[in-house]
Amino acid sequence: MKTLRTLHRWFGVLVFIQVLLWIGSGLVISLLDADLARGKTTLADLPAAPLVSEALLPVAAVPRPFAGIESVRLQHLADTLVYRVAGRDSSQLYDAFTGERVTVDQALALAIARQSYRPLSGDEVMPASAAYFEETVWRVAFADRVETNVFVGTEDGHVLGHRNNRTELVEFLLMLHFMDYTGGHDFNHPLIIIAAVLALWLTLSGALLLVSSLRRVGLR
Amino acid sequence: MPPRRLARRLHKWLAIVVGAQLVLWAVSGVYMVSVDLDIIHGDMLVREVYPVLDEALDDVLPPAEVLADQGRVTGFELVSRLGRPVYLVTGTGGARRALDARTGALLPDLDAQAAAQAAQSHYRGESTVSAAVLLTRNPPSEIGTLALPVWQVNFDDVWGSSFYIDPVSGAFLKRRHTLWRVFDFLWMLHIMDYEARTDINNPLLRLFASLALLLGLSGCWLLYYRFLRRRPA
Repeated sequence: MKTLRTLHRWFGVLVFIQVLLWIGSGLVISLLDADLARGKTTLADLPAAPLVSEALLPVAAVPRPFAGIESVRLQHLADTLVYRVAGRDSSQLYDAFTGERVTVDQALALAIARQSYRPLSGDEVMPASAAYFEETVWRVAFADRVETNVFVGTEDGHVLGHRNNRTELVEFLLMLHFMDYTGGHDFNHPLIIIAAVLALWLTLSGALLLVSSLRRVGLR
Repeated sequence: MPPRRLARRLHKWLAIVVGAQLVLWAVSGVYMVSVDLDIIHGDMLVREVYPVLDEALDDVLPPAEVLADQGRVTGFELVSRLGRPVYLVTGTGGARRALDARTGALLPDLDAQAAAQAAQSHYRGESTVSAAVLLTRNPPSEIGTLALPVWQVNFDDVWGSSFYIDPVSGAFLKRRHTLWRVFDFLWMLHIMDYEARTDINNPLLRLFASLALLLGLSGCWLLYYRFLRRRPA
């Protein structure tokens, strides 16, 4: 019986700690600017520059890198015009006038990242540098006060998103909030379901205690 | 007032203010962690389809020829619309139109039947379309920031599924169903943004979360008296 009581107490304390972590992490996430943490504040709208129509290569002459092409898009890329040929798992770029393959090298990645970047208020143009992040992604680091990184796909120059040190802080808080300590953001696992049900019991029992206390002694 | 009574009273007063919201946080939390996110996203409703252009690539008009008649254009893309190759053209004002890529003819927007056909091609279940409604104004909040007009295609299934289809491109834009709608409603309660259901920085949430933290800490204080202070006696 004594063991059971001890277990019960410690288990209660553990759930209580998690409830405090939920409230605390939720509060801090709410206090942090969500747009900044999601990299939206630094994300510039791409100018809707008109497309050229003369001297474009016909679609039939654009290289077909794979079977299963789903779309061919004419678009600006930094200061060039390209066809983006996209399939289910891959997309590639070709010069819209010559049909030559366009690869996203370091300089192009930097230019694309700069175009997608809007300085924070009070900032001037920020120095930036590009480096390989992983096999298919360039990481362009801006020297702003939140350490913005812009991720650019090496294959088609797509801006995958902006991240900064607030993003990392929110992800740490979400790890506590979602109880997913593996580095992912999975909130559908048994541990959190058990904890959530216990927390529900905690709040409901608290509500019952409150009602009975109000009935007995009023607001005292 | 002795500190123990102060802790008790603080806990009680804070509970009166934020207790109901605390229950809502817990109820919505239990739902959100219990129902798998893939189900909420409606993955089980959708069949993956990959409309391929390969055979059409040799028959389409050259973009230079098509664009010459289109005025100033900011977007130009060849895609498959219900099996037919079309050029999607975006004007400088953002307005979009679809041209038959083989003839250059302007194509009318999808009608109800074509929208239903497009939706059905992405639908995994056995059920059939119960209604296709062209939404032109007052969009339901479940479509977020989707541009109007948009086709809402409803299925006669247990999920209460709605598929959203772009009338210009025929693209499958969004899927919604009852469990998603419940999730979204509970998410609204969770973040206390009762209008757009998106703003997690709203002052009401900040206030209540702060008070809830105080409630929790005053609970810690009470636990201290309950567990630690009693033992020596």
